[in-house]
Amino acid sequence: MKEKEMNLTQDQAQTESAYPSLPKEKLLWMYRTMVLIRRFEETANDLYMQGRIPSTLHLYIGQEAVAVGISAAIRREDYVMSTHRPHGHALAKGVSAKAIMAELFGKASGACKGKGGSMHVGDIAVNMPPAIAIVGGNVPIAAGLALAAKMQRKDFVSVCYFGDGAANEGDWHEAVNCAAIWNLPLLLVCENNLYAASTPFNKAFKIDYVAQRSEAYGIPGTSIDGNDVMEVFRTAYEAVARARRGDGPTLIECLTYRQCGHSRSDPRTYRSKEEEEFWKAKDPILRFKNYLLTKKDIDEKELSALDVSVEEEIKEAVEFAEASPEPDPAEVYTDVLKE
Amino acid sequence: MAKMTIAEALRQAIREEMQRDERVFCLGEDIGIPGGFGGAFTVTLGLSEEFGHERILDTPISEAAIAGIAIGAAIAGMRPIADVQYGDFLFNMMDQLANEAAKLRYMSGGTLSVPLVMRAPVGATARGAQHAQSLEAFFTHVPGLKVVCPATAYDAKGLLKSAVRDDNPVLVFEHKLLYGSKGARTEKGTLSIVGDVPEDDYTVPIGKGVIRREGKDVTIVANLLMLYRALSAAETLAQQGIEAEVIDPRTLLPLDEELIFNSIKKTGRLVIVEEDNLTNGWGAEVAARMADKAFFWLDAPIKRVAAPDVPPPFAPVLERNYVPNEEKIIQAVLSIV
Amino acid sequence: MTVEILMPPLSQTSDTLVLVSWLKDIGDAVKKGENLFTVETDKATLEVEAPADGILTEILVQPQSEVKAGTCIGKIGSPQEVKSLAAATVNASTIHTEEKKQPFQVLPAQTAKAEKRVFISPRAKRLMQEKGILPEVLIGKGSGPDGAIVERDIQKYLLALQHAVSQPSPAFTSSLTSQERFANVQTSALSPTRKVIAQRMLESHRTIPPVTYQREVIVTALVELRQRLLDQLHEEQPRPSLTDFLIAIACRVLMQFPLLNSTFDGEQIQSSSDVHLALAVDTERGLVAPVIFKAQEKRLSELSAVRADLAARAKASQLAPHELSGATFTLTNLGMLGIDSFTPIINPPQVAILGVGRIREAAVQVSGQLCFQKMINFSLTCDHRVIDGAMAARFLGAFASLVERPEMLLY
Repeated sequence: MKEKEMNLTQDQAQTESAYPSLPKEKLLWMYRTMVLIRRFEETANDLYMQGRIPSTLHLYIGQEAVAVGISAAIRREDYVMSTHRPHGHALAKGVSAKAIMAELFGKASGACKGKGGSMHVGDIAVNMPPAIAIVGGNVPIAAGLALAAKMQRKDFVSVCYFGDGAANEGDWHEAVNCAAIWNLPLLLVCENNLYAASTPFNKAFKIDYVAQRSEAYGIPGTSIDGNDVMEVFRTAYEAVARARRGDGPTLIECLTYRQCGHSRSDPRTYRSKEEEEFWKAKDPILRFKNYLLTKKDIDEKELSALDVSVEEEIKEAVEFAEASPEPDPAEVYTDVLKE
Repeated sequence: MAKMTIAEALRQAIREEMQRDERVFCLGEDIGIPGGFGGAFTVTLGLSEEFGHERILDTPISEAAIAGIAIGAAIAGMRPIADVQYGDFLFNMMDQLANEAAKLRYMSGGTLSVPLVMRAPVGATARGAQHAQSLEAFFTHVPGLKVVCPATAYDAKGLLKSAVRDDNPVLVFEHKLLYGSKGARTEKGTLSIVGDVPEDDYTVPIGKGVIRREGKDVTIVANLLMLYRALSAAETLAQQGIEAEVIDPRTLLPLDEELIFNSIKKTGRLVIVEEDNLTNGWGAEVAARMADKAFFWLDAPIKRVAAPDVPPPFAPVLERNYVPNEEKIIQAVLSIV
Repeated sequence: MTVEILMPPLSQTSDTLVLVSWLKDIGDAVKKGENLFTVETDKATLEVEAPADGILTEILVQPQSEVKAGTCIGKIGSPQEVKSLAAATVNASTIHTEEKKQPFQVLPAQTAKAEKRVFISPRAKRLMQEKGILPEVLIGKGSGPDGAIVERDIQKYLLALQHAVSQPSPAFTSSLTSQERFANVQTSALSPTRKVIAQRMLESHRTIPPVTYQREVIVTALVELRQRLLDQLHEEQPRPSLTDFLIAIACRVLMQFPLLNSTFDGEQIQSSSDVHLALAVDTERGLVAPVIFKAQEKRLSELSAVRADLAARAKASQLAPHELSGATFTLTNLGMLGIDSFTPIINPPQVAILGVGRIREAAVQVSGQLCFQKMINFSLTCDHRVIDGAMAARFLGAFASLVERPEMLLY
């Protein structure tokens, strides 16, 4: 899909009246992908509750705008490094729902042949290495991918997703600093969902926004409404352009909220009901749907049709996963070293 | 054929690989700074002039980033040779090496690989506990890594080349007292290990040890500096009529079990000499494997000669009592013949 | 302290023995050295003694069972131990019935059982299995760490086996110290004469398959003939001894049996028509055998003179070498020293030797009549490579015939 050149300033990006004219296909893709992520996660949750998935899950419900907004701004050749909460990033990058679902079931047809599990989904064919479950561990690697682009004189970029908690890891600081001094083509995408597991933001930070740290490293940084997919897209687009130009990394803090617990064993008693209701009202999918229906003159029927196709895709994914064989026990010994 | 120190041989290996393959580059602290030392032990001296500062990339003091960036670059098609200035700093990048580099291929179901090299100088040299440790054992325990330890100039060039060409993460342990570094970076107490190094493009295979001295009464397995102490001990033992077979394993992971096993079949006795502390050292693994595989060929218990279970001390008299010496090796052999 | 009762390695040929029966029951008192059980080997049934004083506490192997040597078949406990063990058992059972009133009885630690364990390195063990060596033969012979048996001990043992010389049973040699055994011993080297004799006797023993044939012969007539002859002689004339007569008779018979008058080098037989007869003479230095050349030609008087001269010079060590070799037959007389008969040893390259025993009076039956006769036992040893028994017997027969009817010498 060809990108249209966007000539937007930061200011313009903030105002609703100056929406870029993304082609309809793209907008529909964005909507459908957000719904796909939402429905995938809800389905996975149901399966987990029914005891049909062997492991716990870290669900992306409520944060869909970040993954989709970023992914709308990048190409297949660009790399994505994800975290322990990777399903949304993976679906948005182009890893198939079937492959991810089969991986959750621990089947041989899974994205990692059943050897990775929920926290490590990825697919190198779409330039997404296995997600890294060590908080902050993915940031230096993302910087390395960006370094390769520079050394190879190619214009692909590297996107690193991480949460607010990761910005306190040593690895994060080392990597951001290196990316800064070497002007690496790196997007540092912070999904600030206000909690690191159960630890609220203000318990771990003296500052108010993670984006403030960008100044300490001499790179541009911004804090945006992470539940506004268009804003995420516009910010990402700018950052990508900067990176491809050789102007170095950008820190994009997306303020968002995970509507469910940290993992499936999280009763969320550290958050108030009011807070959860507040954020539910700012649900990214509802907002985008509203935007499309009112501002972009897209037919409700089209969106419904997309909803239906998502249900189909997920249903197939579940059936595929359940029908797939388990890995041969002997597979435990393979794929450690490349011969 | 040229006469080279180990430092020179390593430098030559890096140079040849970088000439051969444009994807190869180095990253580490103080490795390319103009007017600098070419790394703490002069291995990269002069290379930044030849290849530029992008391919001899100086980093901030950020070990985790050095490792992680090397991993990322490797995934995207580069072939990085990263290094820590002192082996002890490997602990700073432990997560990246053990949780990421070692596991990524497996977690990906075999669809990607991480072809990186991490070089690390080890060995006690009167600098104190945090610049002295031998850490091979921490990495021989990690599936997904390879661990090599060249003790001669010939092996240094050949093994480093093999490591660069290997598609897996390879740790290359070098001994501070074996480099033969010169000038301002001369190491006190260094052994002058100058060897014949062929000028052509050769490699030493990873996973294959070598018999440095043949014998029939006891097998001694020793790496890096301990290899030379073992050879010295062997000469002294020979005067007492005991002929030791000394094996340089060269690779610790994967271990050349066949070589050691065949030697034990001949001698019936095994002594392992390592510079790290005794408990759970790499020698413990060799002992366990041979106690299993070679049990019915053993005429005596397996002995390990290692540093005591203490951090490396500073004062020279203490350090001499820490690092295994010839006498301790001889005592171990005599206790089982 | 508990002592293990081990099956002893009583069989020379097999590792497995049969425990036939126990001679005591569990709970019985035993004394060290008292018979405790019986064992059957492939050769015999034996009783085995108890290794210690105490009470028989355990029987681990039942009667009529096959057991490998070294296996623990039972245990002997000290009386105090047995008492407290019994008490502990009682206590343990009451713990279940009553509500744990007493603290758990601590059993005395089973310290140092009779240490019969043999430590063998795996490498040595493998070698032993290959060579079929039992551990028992190496007990106490370990030279490895902590006295373990190691490879070189096996090799030493194998080497010793190769050079094994039969040893006297330990009971005899171990009662004297080495010093005591050698206190009254003098060492001397062989004299030249002795050396030669030794060498020749060994050569004879090694190379010749000898058979000795014996015949009792009546010499009464010969003795009387000699006496009548002697009565006719003057003083200066040589006086034939009985041996001289026997030499003359031997020569006559050898002419009839030339095979006995031969030399044999292992390949070829050389028969002589002359009888060069060697006569064994005892001297101070040892046995010498001077040769009477062409003895068959000499009359009795000449034979006697030659013989006397040779014997005298032999005793005085005045014989020349050529007088000591070249014989075709030897005669050796030990009768004057009281020997009844013996098995003389052939002097190679000769093939026969005639030994003469003593004259004895015996009551014999001659032509149906009981009478006293003088008898001599003649012993003829022949080299069976060359001379068969029948021929030897015929020679002796002819010889006996002439001895008994010496008048035939004139015929």
